Amino acid sequence: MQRIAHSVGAVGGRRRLTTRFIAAAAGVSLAATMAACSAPTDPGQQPSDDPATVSTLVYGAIGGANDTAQPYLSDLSTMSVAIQNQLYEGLTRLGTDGAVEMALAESLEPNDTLDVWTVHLRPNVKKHDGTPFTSDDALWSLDYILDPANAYSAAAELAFVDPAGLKKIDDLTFEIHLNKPYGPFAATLASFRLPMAGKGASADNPIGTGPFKLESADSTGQRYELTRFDDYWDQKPGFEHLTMVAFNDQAALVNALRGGQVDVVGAVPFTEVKALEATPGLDVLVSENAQKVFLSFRVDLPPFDDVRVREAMRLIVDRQQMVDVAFGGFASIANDINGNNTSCPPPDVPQRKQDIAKAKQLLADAGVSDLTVEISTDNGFSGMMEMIQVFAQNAADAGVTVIPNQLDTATFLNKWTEWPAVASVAQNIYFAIPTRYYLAGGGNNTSHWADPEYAEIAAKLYATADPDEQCEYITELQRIEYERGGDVIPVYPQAITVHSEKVKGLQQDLYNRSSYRFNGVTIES
Amino acid sequence: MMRTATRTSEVATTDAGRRRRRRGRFLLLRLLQGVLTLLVVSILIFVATQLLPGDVARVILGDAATPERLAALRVQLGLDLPVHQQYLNWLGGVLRGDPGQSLVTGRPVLDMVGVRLVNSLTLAGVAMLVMLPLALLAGVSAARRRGKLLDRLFLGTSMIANATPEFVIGSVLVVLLGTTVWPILPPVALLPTGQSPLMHLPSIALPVLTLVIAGGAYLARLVRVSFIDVMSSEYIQMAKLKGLSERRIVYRHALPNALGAVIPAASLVAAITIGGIVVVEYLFAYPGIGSLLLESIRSRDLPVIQAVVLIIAASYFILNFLADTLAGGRDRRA
Repeated sequence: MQRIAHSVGAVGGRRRLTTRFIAAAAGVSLAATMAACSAPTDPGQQPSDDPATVSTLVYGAIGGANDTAQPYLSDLSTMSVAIQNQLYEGLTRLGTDGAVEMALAESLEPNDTLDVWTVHLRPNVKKHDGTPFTSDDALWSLDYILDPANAYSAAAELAFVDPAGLKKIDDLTFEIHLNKPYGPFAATLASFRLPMAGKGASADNPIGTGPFKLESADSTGQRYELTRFDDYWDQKPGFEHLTMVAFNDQAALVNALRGGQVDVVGAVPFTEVKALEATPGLDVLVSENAQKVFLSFRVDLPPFDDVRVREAMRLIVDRQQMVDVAFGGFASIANDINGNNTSCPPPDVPQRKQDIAKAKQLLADAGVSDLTVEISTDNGFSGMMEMIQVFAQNAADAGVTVIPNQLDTATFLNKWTEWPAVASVAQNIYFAIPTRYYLAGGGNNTSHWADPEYAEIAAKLYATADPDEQCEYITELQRIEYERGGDVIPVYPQAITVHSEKVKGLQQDLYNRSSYRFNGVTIES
Repeated sequence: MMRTATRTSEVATTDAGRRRRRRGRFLLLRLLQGVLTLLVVSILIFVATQLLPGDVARVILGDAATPERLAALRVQLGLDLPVHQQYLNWLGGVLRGDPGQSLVTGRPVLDMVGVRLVNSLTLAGVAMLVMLPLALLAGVSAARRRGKLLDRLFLGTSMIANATPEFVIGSVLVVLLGTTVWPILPPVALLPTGQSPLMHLPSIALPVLTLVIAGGAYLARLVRVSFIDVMSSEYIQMAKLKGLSERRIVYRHALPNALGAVIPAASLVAAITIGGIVVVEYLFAYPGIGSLLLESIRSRDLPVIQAVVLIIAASYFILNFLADTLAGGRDRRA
């Protein structure tokens, strides 16, 4: 276990994951064949059922009455994501380092034109009801995801799949026909929003293949009792019972942790970390994190339609102050590129630094020296509001007035992609970034960016399955993001998991799952 | 003689009947008034939620919503119907005893509200059970030592407790007794699945204490004033002149009369406690209707909002009605 017992300020001494990961390319295409041989974890590491290790772990997260064990919820609280991770798995998945691994699929094979993919399922995988996981289950799941009647928002991630093109070959093999060639299919299927469930799964019948099965969910939606699934095909957790408790408020969650009522909590506020680190009996685990918060300005409206104004916004920000103040030291400096999670070489561009004089000059050249901008947010992620406040402080030095506009989530979403400027969040593998964030019509394209050159390269990226070519395109896309994108991405925040010192084996995770990935985790009595 | 007796008895019967009928009419009127109030509240809530920006379909689909999917979901949830039609559909359901389903989870509202309502009533009930005797004791003790140190201390502290919002009282208690200074009680009110809060009294100790301090301070001040009033009344003075023991005067004569004035106030405090429970449940992550209300407002889940608000409004009505009736009874006795 990576126990981080350093003092908070000692960023340099903090143990980090190796820099840039493999989510992108590696896996992808040839994932197909290469992964055929990869059982991701060593079965020899199975924890024993020694009575000394049989116990209950209590996990706490933000959630509430709206959570259910249904596998396809569009509105996901942290708690519902954590529950889904115990019950369900995808055909592929992202490893703790971000690399694409095969999960319920043993291999994915494309045809030459990359528009028909054959899925070979891993044999001998059992569902929680004891029956084998087969093509019928996987095809039912894909059907459910794609059926417009179910209004599942993550169907957008499979927009290139032909809903009529799901064809069973045998119990462990099926074909997926696409509307157009698509290379990074294995990486896309690894999305946590695309889990496979047993045929007919629902909130009341949450049959999956995951490491835990649901015993009971109380009718208030606050508490879930799970037991270890002893027929789980991969590395099992080292404890038998898992209690998951939903909190509607961050303060109550932290209080419960301090009071010893919960054992593990993910995503505590950055402002609380110092105090929690000093609390006897608690350990803090810090991970690099592909989930990032950033500021996004609409490039289709003045004044941000002028690239000089966008450049000025990026030069205004004091990135080190952002790290220290908005994220309590738990972040690394970024360079306005949406991606700390690819293994591809970053574009050869200089690190942007605060340059107020140049920012003022650019604004003057653009004729907007007395700019006022309102940045809207629902403060849905830790550090968002603080980020806007630090930015406002920096902007004042350049004569720019920034007005933070905090809204409740429903009000904020009501004008999603319509606000002139927002604090946004991205938590996807890079392959999902262009489609969702930077291409016309993307559901998260809050900046309304529609750059023809970017779109052309993105199309090439999606049409190849060659990892080298993919990397070449990704680097080029990132160069364009850096040069003329509508986002200010000053830092990459880290992920904080706080847990009882008795909980051993939690791992750093690039996709912020440290607090609820329990494979191999044990509890000391 | 015989005739006179019959006539007297007839008059008495008629008087009693008239009183019963008057009382029956009064109760019926209050009931109608209550139903009308709830109807108005339900319309107000409906209009208010329509005025709030954002709808439940947006919340359900999150930031990955497409216009097509939003439209489809709105049709599924009936949000495309005219507003008055949506309201009438909901009202029709309520009259049939079915307040509908949550728009977010699809679960029946009755299922979502049921256990939480029991939890909230239990919390409020336990708080009132603790609060009433404590307020009585504190109020009477202060009144009997009127103007002395204990009384002044009581007046000062109860004033502070009165002026402090429940949220602050609860937060201070968490730091004092839950996490930092003297951590002897669970800082968060977690309940095992399907079990009554009564089986886990330590878990609800801090929320109960918060409600007791917030409501008890007010109630104890009322007890004190009421007790002082009664003690200075003529018949207590007379009792003193007759040489009755102080104990007898306090417990047999003064206290019952003082209580008469306090009981209606206690009903109002109970009503306030039901309102205050929203804040306390949120603070202590207690699974009651208060925290459910906050969540459903956040997600614009109208049927759940309606159900919870109507329950709270009905509780207010019932407790106010009780207060009025008890106060009325006391007046008649006087």
